[in-house]
Amino acid sequence: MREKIQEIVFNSTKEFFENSDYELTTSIDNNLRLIGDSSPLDSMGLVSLIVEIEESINDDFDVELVLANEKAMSARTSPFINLETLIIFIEEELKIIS
Amino acid sequence: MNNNIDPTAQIAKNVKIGSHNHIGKNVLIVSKNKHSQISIGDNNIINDNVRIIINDGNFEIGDWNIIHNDTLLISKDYLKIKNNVWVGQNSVLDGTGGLTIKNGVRIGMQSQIWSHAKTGEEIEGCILNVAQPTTIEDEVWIQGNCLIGSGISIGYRSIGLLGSVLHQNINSNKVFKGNPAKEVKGLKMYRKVSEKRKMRLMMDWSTEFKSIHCQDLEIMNNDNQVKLKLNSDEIIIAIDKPSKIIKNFTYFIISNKQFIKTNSFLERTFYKFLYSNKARFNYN
Repeated sequence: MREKIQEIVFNSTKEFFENSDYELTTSIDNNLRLIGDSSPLDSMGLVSLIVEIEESINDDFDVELVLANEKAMSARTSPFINLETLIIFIEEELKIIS
Repeated sequence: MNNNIDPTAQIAKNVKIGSHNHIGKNVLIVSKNKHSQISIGDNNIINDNVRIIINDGNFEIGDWNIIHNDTLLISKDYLKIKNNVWVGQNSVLDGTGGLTIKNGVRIGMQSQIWSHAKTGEEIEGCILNVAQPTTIEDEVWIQGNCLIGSGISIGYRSIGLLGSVLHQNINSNKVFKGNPAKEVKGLKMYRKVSEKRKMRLMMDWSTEFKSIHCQDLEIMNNDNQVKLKLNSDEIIIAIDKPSKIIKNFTYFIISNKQFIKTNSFLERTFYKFLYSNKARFNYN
């Protein structure tokens, strides 16, 4: 399942940067930072990317996952550090609802 | 009509006021043309020191709007505010050239929406003299300190970020910022929510409403409907409008965001719980 999630996350991220004013200077891989100084996104860009990924996941897995939820926001370790932590978080969430 | 109008408020004689409105201290509603049609619907809050100056034309406010303190509304051509509109303190809404603010629009503090620009002397050759209709479509959110120029149209559910100064039209579902304001590509502030999930949210909020505000409320969750009952007041929440509408029942319809109102105690209390930022429904 992780490979499928990774593919969806990478494709959505690519599409997001291609169609947005946010500039990506690194490649799209697991290490792409989503928060912090080295992230190419501000808080609104992050939320928009997460919503984009959420919709793709929901369409592909036919679920109603809410990624930017209370649990994610209040987690001691943010699931939004980079694409890898996001992918792991999505996998865990999908396991919970399946 | 169950309105709560402060004795210091001054309201012109040709103003028709619905019911359950709150009109605060020193509110001024002036009509300079006795033929102007001026109407205020139901359940509106017009807070202290709001001034509504109707020089000419018609002025209309629907239901469930909030206009906060010290805001100035001017009308000459027309000024129409539909339902569920929120206007922050010290804002200016100018209907000199015609202004329409549609359902669910939110206008942050100290924002100004203009429909005219006229002050330079004609004798000196000033040609900046415009009065054009400005239209703010449904569910637009203009954050604090925004300026919207005359003749502008902002499309459905677009968002103007803090301090935007808008001189050109904006399409639907866009986010704009800056001076002069431009669209920020890629920002998406709404996620898709299925009708089924909307029903679940309404059910959850009904339960929360019962526990906080109304212990005696009965909640029944049938197929595709949530029913709330308090004494003789009843509310039906449904995805689509039922084929048979029962008189004196309130209906909240998820698919088209409409509601059939009765203005019952339960409807008003429950809607007050919802309309800040949970869910808004419009009455036509």
